[in-house]
Amino acid sequence: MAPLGLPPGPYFEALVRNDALRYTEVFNYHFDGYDEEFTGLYRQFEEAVRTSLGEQVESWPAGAPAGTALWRSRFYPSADGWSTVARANFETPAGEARMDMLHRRPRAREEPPLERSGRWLVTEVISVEEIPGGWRFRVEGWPPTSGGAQRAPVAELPLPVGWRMPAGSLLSL
Amino acid sequence: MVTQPGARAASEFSPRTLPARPVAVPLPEPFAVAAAPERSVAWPADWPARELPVFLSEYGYGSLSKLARHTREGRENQRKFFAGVAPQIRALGIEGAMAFVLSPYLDDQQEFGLLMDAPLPGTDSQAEMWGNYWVTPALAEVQAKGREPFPARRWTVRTPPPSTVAIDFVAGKGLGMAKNYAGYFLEGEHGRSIPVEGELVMYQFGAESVTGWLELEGDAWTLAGGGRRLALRLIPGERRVISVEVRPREKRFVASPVTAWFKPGPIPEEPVVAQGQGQSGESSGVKVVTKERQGATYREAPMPAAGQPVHVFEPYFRTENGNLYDAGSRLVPTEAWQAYFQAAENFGPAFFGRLQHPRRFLDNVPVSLVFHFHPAAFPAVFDVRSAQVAEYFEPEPAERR
Repeated sequence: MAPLGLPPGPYFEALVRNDALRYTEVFNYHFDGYDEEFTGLYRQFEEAVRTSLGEQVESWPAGAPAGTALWRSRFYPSADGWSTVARANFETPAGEARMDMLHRRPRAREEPPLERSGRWLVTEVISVEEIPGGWRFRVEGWPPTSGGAQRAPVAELPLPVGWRMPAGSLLSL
Repeated sequence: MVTQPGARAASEFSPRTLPARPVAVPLPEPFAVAAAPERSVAWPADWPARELPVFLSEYGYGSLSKLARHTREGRENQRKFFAGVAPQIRALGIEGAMAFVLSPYLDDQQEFGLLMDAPLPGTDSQAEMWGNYWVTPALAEVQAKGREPFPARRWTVRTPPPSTVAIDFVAGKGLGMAKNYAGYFLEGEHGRSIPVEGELVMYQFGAESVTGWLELEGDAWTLAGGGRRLALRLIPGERRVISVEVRPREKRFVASPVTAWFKPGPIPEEPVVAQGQGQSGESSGVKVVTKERQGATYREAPMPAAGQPVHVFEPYFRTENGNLYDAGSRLVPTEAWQAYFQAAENFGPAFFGRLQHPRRFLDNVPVSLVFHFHPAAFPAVFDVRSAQVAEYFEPEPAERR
């Protein structure tokens, strides 16, 4: 099979729903993260294969004859002209416990450290300004990392406990 | 070798004697990987078990900058990455792991090459060379570790034997491919008034003719003219185009899943009959035609010209287990405001966060909204506004424009 370039998410699941594993004699993927994540990705793929094939069995018609083939996809209505019902916003501060949890979370060896800046956690090369209805990020350079590895500048907004993005909802910016 | 009580060294296992769970990989506590819950599946008797070798046809260090590639410190970081991955490859029994990439290779702002086109500062004249290139510490590491044999571990999967029939879909006018949504959007107001057309394309790759039934599952589509079941006879090498009508009926902006099945089996004698119509062939309104593709209406996000430096940024969610999730979107800011919409179902795990269980975004608890920036030059300013999470419903008739 052609290699899977991303961790197992919606694209991978669409591939399995369309029977890709039925037509391959090898599982092949790519890895592009921190070396500390390597085993995690392998285990994710291993679980995703098992879970997705299990779901394929559950959706397979009982007694389907040998040689059955399928094509699966999803149709959406037109994206225009809908009424919006807000489910969550990004206005409520996270609270000290959540801020602290994210500030202290384990980092990979080369992951840039984050510092507190108001209700944000940022790499030290970023400043965040609250502008009407949004945020302005000013990025001054690459963040300092262990050994000078080049990683992306990051701005992270901790969310309050109980914040959810339910199925069927969309993030919009 | 130091082992814990009860632990077995990886070399004791052969592919036939590996336990269901691989031997634990010794990682620092913050990155200890939890096992996923097992799933009980009643496999159909005619889905045979097969063993899949696991290949890793590319793994590379993605943090070596254009400047650092010429420094001892940068190349030592690259070596540490490969030194960190090597024992994990061995413990997991991955076959065919291929380090990316041998020749010097600058991909935008990152260098991936395991060979250098210039020696590192302070290198003596005895430094190892391959042809006109100098060997990096990382390549020396990969070569040394790669020579030690280790047992492979394969995954057991169950799938049906392959079918000789394949089914494809070509969107018609008014239907646009939406990659991040793993589906298709109706365009304009079509979804509420008139259906749009698409084409199922059936291929028979087998050496014999096959008969059977095409069945459409899901209420968002029908065969053109109505009905969801059609008898077919496909001859060897045939490509058959079958028109369908698409009309999602959801009153919310959510996906309507659809499946087209081809189930081999006996069919009535010709002519072809569409179930529910009681009539045959073209007169039933079911169009069964063989023709060349007329051209699809794909819609893809515009990309900057190759080689043109642009600012890029990416929104993510981080979840309680440390994972990062994105929806495959690299946003290129412009002077004019642009809109960004991604459904919760579109978010998948991303590199450079953690890659833990649970894997699916909707099975996790979001704890932060994260932006990664990739400026083309400094300083760079990015504005974001109107961030929210919302559901979208069909408005009442009086509300429509």
